[in-house]
Amino acid sequence: MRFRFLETGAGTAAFNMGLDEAVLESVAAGAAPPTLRFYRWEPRAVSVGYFQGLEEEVDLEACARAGVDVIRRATGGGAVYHAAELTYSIVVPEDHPLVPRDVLESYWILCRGVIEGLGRLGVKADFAPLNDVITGGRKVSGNAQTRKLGCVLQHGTVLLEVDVDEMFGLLKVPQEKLRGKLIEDVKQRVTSVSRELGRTIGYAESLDAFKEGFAVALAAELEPAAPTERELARAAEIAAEKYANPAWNRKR
Amino acid sequence: MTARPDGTGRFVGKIPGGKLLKLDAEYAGGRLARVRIRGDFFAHPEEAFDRVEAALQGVDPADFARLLREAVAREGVIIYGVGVDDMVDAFERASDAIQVP
Repeated sequence: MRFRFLETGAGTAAFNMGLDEAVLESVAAGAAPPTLRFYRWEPRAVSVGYFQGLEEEVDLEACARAGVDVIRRATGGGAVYHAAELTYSIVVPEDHPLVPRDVLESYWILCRGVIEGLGRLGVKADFAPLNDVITGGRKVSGNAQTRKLGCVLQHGTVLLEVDVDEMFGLLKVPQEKLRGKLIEDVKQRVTSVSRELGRTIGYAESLDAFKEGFAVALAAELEPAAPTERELARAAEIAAEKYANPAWNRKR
Repeated sequence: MTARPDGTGRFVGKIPGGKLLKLDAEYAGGRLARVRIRGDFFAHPEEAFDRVEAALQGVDPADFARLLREAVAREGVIIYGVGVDDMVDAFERASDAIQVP
């Protein structure tokens, strides 16, 4: 099975989400094969799920002060602080043999790339429905999927390091008086690759493990490539029109 | 359903084994002036859920459950992490918790 492999490094939140969508368009149009992409976020960013309220979830002033991008994803799920992590996206036609019609099953299939990659780094992990990957009962990866134009787009993050206090400095909580307890709960429920291994693992160091992991999980030959000029142009358009547009980011 | 005073009621809760659901029900003149359904759930297609939510604005509160179910079926939207019954329950609880301004 043939997959295009893009490693696009650091991008702004709007560009990152725009490129995921541009790749979706080109795979849907038959202009590109199924595609796996790895990337990271510069500046750091908070993304909220499609159905979340932006102002309800995010301390916009704190993000502005810290120079943190804020964006609404095209996918559901919860708020994510994108700092020390590896982010991946997979775009596959819905009729591809790899993708079951059942959404829950397809999460499990596509998350196997994360699990295999973590295994190569020495972190034993499992899938936890609906959309998480856990190790030792703690979440180490969150994943989200949308289906558009006859394709599946799944993107997700692997926490390489996690700073829960820093994250909560950028998020709002439902009840301020319970903030301390919530932070302690999240510290118990979330971990990172670096924490599990007892040493710092950065993005560059993690790339080969996850590339191999996804290749095994997808039974795919990954062909390194760069986004096409058309994709980069569309990514810039989508970024400007949608992801950098308050009408989109504040739609809920 | 008893007549509701004007004001906004809110439900916030994690669905057991599922996701967080936040529902605001704003009443004016005995009608549901505005309902907002938010949370970290998933719905496919996402835009179809927007249309489901839009179909619930300004309706008679007594019709909420029926109209929600009809709109979900009509739009062919599949929701993960939160059930339609959870949304109906959240609506009723929000409506029972109206804060009069």
